Amino acid sequence: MITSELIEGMKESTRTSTPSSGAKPKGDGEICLRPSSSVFLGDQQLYFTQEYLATNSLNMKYVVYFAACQFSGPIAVIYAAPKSWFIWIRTISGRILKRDLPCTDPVFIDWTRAHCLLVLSKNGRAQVLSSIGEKVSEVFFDNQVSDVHECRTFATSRGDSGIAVMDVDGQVAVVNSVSEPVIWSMRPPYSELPTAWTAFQPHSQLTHILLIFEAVFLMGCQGESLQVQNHASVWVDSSTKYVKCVVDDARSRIAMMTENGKIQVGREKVSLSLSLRETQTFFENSKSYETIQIVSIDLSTCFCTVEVTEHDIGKCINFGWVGNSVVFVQMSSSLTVFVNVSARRKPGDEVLVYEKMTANARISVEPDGIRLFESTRVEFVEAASREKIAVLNRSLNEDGAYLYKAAQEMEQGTGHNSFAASTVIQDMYKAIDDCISTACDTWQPEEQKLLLKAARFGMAYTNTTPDTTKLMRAIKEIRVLNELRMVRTGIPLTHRQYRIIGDTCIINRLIDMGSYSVAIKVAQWLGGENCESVDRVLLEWVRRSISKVSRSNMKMDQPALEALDEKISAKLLQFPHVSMADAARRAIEAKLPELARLFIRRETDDESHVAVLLQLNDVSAALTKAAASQRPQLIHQVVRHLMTSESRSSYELAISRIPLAQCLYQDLVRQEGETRGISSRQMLALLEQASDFERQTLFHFDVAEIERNPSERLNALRRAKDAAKSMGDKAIEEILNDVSAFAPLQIQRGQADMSVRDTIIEIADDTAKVAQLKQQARLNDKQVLLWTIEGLAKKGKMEQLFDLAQKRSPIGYAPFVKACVRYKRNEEVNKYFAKANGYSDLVAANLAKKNYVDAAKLAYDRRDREVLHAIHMKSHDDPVQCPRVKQLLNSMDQA
Amino acid sequence: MAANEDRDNDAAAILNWEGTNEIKSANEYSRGLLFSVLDALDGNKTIVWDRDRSVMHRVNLFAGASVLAAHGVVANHSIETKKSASTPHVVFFLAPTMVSLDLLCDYIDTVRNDPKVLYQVFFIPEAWYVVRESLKLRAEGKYWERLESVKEIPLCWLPRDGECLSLSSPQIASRLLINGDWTHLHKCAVALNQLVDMCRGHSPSTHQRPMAIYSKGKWATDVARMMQKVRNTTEADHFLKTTDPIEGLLKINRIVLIDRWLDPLTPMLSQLTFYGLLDEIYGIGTVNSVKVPETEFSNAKDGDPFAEKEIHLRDEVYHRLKHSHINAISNEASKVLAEIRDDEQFDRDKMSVAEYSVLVKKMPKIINRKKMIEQHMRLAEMIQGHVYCKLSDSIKLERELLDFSDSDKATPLIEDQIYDAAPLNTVLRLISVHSLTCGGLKASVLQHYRRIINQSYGSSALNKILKMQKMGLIREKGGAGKMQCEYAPMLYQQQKKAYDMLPENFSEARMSDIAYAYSGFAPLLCKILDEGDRVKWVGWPKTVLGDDGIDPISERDPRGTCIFVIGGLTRSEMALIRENMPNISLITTSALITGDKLLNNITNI
Repeated sequence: MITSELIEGMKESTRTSTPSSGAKPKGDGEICLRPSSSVFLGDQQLYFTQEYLATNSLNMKYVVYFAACQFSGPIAVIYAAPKSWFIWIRTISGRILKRDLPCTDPVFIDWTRAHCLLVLSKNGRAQVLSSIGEKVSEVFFDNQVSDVHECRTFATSRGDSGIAVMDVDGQVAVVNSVSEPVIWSMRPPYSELPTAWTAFQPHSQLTHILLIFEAVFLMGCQGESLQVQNHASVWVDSSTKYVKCVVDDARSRIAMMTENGKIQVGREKVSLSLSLRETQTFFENSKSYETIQIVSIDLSTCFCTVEVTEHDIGKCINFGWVGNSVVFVQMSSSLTVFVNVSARRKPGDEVLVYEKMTANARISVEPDGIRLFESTRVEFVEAASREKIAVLNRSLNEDGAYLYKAAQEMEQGTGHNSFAASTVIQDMYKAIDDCISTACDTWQPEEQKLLLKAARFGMAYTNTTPDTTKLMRAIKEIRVLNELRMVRTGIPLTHRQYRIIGDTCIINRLIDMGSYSVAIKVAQWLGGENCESVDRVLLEWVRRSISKVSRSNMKMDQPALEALDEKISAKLLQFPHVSMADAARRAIEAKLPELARLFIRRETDDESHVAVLLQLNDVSAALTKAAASQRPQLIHQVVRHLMTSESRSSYELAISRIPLAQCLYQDLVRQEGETRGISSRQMLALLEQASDFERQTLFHFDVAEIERNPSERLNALRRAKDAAKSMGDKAIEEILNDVSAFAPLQIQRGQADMSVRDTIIEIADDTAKVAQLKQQARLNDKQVLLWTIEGLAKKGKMEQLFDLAQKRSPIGYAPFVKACVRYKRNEEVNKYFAKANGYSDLVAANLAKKNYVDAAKLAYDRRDREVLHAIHMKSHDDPVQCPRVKQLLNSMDQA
Repeated sequence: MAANEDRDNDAAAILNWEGTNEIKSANEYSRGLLFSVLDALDGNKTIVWDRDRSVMHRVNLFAGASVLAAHGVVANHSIETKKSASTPHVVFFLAPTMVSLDLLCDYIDTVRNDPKVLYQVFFIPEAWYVVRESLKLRAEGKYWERLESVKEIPLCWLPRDGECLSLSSPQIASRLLINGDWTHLHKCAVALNQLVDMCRGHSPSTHQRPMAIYSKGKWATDVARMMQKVRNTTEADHFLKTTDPIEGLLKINRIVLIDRWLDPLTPMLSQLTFYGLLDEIYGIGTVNSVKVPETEFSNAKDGDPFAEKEIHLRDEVYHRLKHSHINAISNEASKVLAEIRDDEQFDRDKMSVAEYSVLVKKMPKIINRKKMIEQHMRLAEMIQGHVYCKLSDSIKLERELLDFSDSDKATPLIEDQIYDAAPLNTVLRLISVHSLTCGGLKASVLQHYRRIINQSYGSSALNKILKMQKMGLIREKGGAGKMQCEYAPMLYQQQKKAYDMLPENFSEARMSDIAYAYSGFAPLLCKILDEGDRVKWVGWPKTVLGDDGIDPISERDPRGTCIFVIGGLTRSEMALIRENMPNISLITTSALITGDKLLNNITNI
């Protein structure tokens, strides 16, 4: 009845050490890459792979509680000591992650999908520990439940795990997520405890609780009461007692087990009739059958029923799924039975069972198989994928198998066979894909290589340019898997498991376990040198190294801090894209500001540097750094930080020490002031603080320029004078002295907006006033004379002008002519023109009268080329005279 | 009238000269920035413009109303009119100032737009950190929440005359020297980095290609250092960005930074090229046009004295004339006229139909050219009149001072002009030339100038003269540290000989003569650049952006040099560089200036 067929793998590959390490790995848990043995169980094939040998340190013998983290994560065991309990956490290869962690009254341990260990005590307190035994959180069921009877964990759609706790009264308390524990509970209508129960969360539905009381099914989801599932009666064998129910990994089916059915259940179970009942009575006591039923998650359909007669499986100690179509029944620590429950089985088919002898085995369930932890070894039982069965067994009519064969023939030099094999292949793309996925599913590097080569070989036969992305990805992932399977890491992940949890999760798990170097390696392989994951790993490492220090309560002295800084920076500097500022932030979080300061010194990015310094509240350093970076935005950032966090005087003092920041702050004050109209005083205060007298002087001038009120303007100028005095510039002070002496009188006269020149012109006819002004404003004779002339001409005081001309004019008479021309006193012009004498005066007078030709003649006579040229230029004003002047110029040049 | 003008513009478009390839690429890049912003918003947009017209001018340099409309802009409002908008997006184009911020908040408060209308704020050309922060904080973030996004559009490089890119910040020298505000150098560094981006693109392969930066002068060195820092800090952002579709348009091999203040003298002198004089006399605006009095232009005796005629300076004829010395402009103009004559010479009787159709196509161009040459000849005439009649004395004096300058006594002509209250800037420029050429005025001379300036113009003029002292445009010989400029002085007397700034022979008509633009004076800045170009910038402080090690191909190629003048460049100097240094393919500066512009942009404390 048992169909077993052992297939011996390729005998030539019996290396036990990994190719990379060369020598045998030392210590516990030797990695074993002996070819897997396999057994067919109907259409299913089970592969047995011994992962680690000589795992003595797993120390299974005295284990009281055992739990292995799904996806080949670490295992936790609890030993009983005389008065207390101790938890040990190890990797599958036996590396110890945590030893001797005491706990009280544990009744249940399990791993959540989030890689946390859940330890439930008898009184209903659940501790959540990280994979290295650090306490993460706690869940208190003790208010809700009396003493714990049993407990189930279940996977949720969010990738976390929930817990359902049943107390001795049969009440069930549930949290949907360990990380956010909110307790709700459910109470069955019966006082006795159920014979079997489970909790699960079907896809995108609420958490369900299934309680089975012998053959009565009660199910309810969160927020609803428990309902008797009448529709299950089509398949329920009401005469027996259901003792186990296990939900599969896809959360779509439940495997049920009945105990010691007194009746042989008819295979024609579909029609449950009275007559059948009679036959059942007929068989009563004749033979006891136990059945395994596979039903849908809503209990509506039964996919498959298997009766097992050989074993008293109702008394089993463990029961669960192996992949999709096989279940295992652990009868004792030394015997485990595998049963094919494939939905393709037809009623009446032979029951396919395989028995496996073990030694002290503990079992952990993975999505694609189970792992047997025995006293001295760890073995993985895998329900092989379709591709793997097809390719490795050289099945007929399988393209992948042909391709593998062809590639191997090619390798061995038998090309004709190779060709023969390859011609049979119908769908080359499928064949390639099959080979790749089989390569992923195999354990020995040699075999992986052969299969990948076969895939590559197959690409040569395709018509289109081969798409190598799948192959590349497979190679990348196999590399990661092989690394993870090493003893030193101890995560014998299969490719299917890997695909389920993904890159990020793998890296997170490695971080959790403190395997940083592997994590970085894996992150780099998967994401390239600069990927985000590498940063994450490093920073997590930094965080943990720092928090280890900060938690130790040890007073860190400077050398110790420096040593730590040295250590961490040395590592981080190997990864130039990882910012030291992030490390510094971790240090701040760990309340180690000194360490943060040490880190930040190495930060090259100014922006993060400044940000961290601000976080440290080291404003002056931040300001200096920002100024050194010469980036306005950074300085503004610091200034703004200062302005919000400190008093005006203190931040202005801080800013004034840094000139670069000072000018920026001034600009800020100026800009903000322009719209609010309050800038001036602030600005001045800043300049005074800086003792910048030059700019103070200019500042007062600016105020005077804008100021409309004459007396205010005067005040501003007086202040400018004071500033000039402080500056020590006598000359400017002197001018300003004159101005401030002159201005009050101007204001009295209502001429505050006029310059000295304008004033003289205005009062030119009043000789006395002119003389007074001359003295006040310290004018020279020429100025006074010129402006008087202009003023008189402007006002039309022609007699007075003529009187003035009577005295010999020290500046000649050209200015008179000019003034008359300017103010269009044409009748007067000639009077003064006649008075002009001397060469330059005459030329100037002629020019003023626009007698260019006459002026030119004078210059020509004197052979004064320079003046003549200047006259020529000016003569362009008059198109008539210009050519004649030009003539004169030319003739002089020729002469 | 309007229709007539339209036709004029159409005709002008035929002859429009967009500029050198480098300028075109830079414009393309800026346009890309603008359109990517607009195209990122689905649906129609209303642009609300800042009160500050410069924002609109800036944007219009790259895209006129019709082009904006093609990118979904259906309405243009001014922020002050407070008209409500009916489009799903309201796009604010604002200057990064507190004033604009107040207007924005006011707009949000008063305009009753549908709350579903999304407000997108864009600061042009950059978002000042302080403005952004205070917007966040104002009224407990009430305004900030209403806004869908607050970003910047870095339209910093404005094309000037198709030959130069300008940051259009003429205040920079004053800000640096009077306010000590170094952030303007940082702005230059950021803008220059954009230039490097135009050249290198954002894709990782090209982005790290090295770019050599040579610098001369204190500011230039600072900017070069800042560029490196800016580059390093923005690198991370660049990798995140999707690659620019318009990358790598610009081809330059190196950037040369130089301080205006190595040669503060040249801007104080009168420019003598057509183009420089247009700027000096009428002032060329941001949209590359001059406004001249209508009456003067049409030579009419009567008419509205305040009417102004705006003349756009972007036609091809203008570009041929602009660099000519004002005395030699007729040479170039006669060439253009001869070409037009050639074009017009055709024998109607002997022409085939095909020839006719070619001619018909050419006709508008010919007509327009004629019109343009007419217009520019008239402008040149006006300028000549102005120069000969009004400026000749000053120009003569400048020349005398350049030849020989005495620090011990005041120049009588300057005194006379002050007594006569001639335009203040002219006088101040002459004093500055006096001071710079003699290496600082004697204390008594300076005091005399200051005193008479104060008497003729009042205390605001005195203020200006003190600020010029602070800026180093006027220096006191052996001054005791009062109102001293922090920038090292220009040593004219020594440099005059070392750089042969006053060559014996020169020709105003020959543009390849480095002394033509200032009639016998070769500007020091151009001389320094010329020398640098000749020695391939050996010995100049060098900074390398991006990967260490130098791209050998671009390093060896002497062409493709981009220069950036910090503190402003005159148009005459630009002409000299264009005409004399073919290796300099791109001229950029913080602003195109004249002496007057420099003085008018002296800032307050």
